[in-house]
Amino acid sequence: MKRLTKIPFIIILLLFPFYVHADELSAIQETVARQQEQIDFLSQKIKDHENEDSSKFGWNLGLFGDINYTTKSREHPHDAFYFHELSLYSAASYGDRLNFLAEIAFEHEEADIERVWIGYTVNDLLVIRAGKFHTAMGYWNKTYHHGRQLFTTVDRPFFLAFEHDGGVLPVHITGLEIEGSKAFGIGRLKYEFELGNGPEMMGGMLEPNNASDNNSSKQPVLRVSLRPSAVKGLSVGVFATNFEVDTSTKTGLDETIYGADIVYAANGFEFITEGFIFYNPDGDGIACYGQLSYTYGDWTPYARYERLEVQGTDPYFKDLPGGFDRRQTIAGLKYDIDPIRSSLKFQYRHDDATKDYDVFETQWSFHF
Amino acid sequence: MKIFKPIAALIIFLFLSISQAHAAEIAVIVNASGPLVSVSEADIADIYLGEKRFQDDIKIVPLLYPEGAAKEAFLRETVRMTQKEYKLYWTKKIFQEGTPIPKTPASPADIINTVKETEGAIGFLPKEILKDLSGIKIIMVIGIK
Repeated sequence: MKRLTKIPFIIILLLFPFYVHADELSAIQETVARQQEQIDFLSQKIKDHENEDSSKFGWNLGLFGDINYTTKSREHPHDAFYFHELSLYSAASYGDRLNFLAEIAFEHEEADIERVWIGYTVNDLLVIRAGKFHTAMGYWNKTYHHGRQLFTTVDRPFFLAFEHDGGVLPVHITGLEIEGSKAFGIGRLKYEFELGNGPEMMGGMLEPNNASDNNSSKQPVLRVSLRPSAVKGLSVGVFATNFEVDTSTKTGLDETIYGADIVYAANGFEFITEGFIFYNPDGDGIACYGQLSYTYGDWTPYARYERLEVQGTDPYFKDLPGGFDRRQTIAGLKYDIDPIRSSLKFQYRHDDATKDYDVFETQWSFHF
Repeated sequence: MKIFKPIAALIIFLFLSISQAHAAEIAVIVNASGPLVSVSEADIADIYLGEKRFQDDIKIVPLLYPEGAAKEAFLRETVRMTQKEYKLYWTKKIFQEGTPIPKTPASPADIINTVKETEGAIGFLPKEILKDLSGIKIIMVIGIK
């Protein structure tokens, strides 16, 4: 009998762990159910965000800017803090084929429409755009616009400066652009062709002629580039343009600029080099640069060499404030606080022309 | 006792074999009756770089997986970029051409449903998640290291 009275006790003892676990299981199930509700809610919020109307201006809105400090240089007669510009842009798309982009730069007391275009994609071989763009003169000018957060370095190569900053190339054009690409066995071949108003010499600089043209001659630009299949990360391109421009000493000067670009980016390394040849019946010039950088984590050391050589009698270069022999050597370090949003750059620049400058520059760039 | 050691060794060997067989893999999937069923690996890279946007006049819809090991492995094998480099690439592309970055659906189920319902859709996700392959074709398998 004593054994029989012990049996219920033993049964309860055996079942006790299961009773405790059943309680815990119930609590866990409740927690899982609550978390599932939260996941479903967040998933719906994400879907709602993705379904927002992407055709509206401001749907994809961004702003680039940068604050700088420089020691005395050719551009700044005293050590100075300064900001280059605020670049506001928005890109939008409507359906599968129509898209838009606008970029406005606020620089000191001016606001400039830097780019604005509407585009229609027929297929991968034909994209048509109308508006104002960067000319397809090489890799840098087509890849980098006014957002210095996307540059490895503090600024563009000096001869690729914007027209109002003393650049010697027409980096903007207003007109039509078509581009397309196709994959072949050798790699993906891309073409970019533009036809627009040629530049005008005005106030000692090349003016892009956004609102009208001062002559009936139009400027064609063509760039063809290849990304070979055999070498991942490599791109090579050739480009050319021709335009008619009135200078202070020659009316209707026929200027041709052509060149090549090579870019290699892999395993953290990036190498970019471009060469430009300027030619007109009364003179010529060459410009080139080579830039090398290596990204390790959040740090990117870099170096660049730039060179412009011109003929002193060339009527094209004589009218341009930047049209003189000049070399520049740059070495610096970029630190990504966030690679998309903000970076710090520390740069040394040796600027070698008739007067030399050793310049130390710091930049805090941002994008949001 | 003499037989214990060889049996233990056999069990360990079988366990390791099964573990290897179930090492994580990513499946790249497309709509089974869509135009992407025979695209090459080079085409997949061009699609995710925004260089190839149409196939047979059908808009291609590339889909991304959330940040993590699967996305890291996919980007490494196809476009040869890290997640950070890929984000930077698309930031430049949006600013340069206005091309929208590929979308990241809210869940693996959404990736699968979008691929099933959209002719030009292409996506990638851990292969173990794929239970029902109806309407879907796996065109590439990548191992997660």
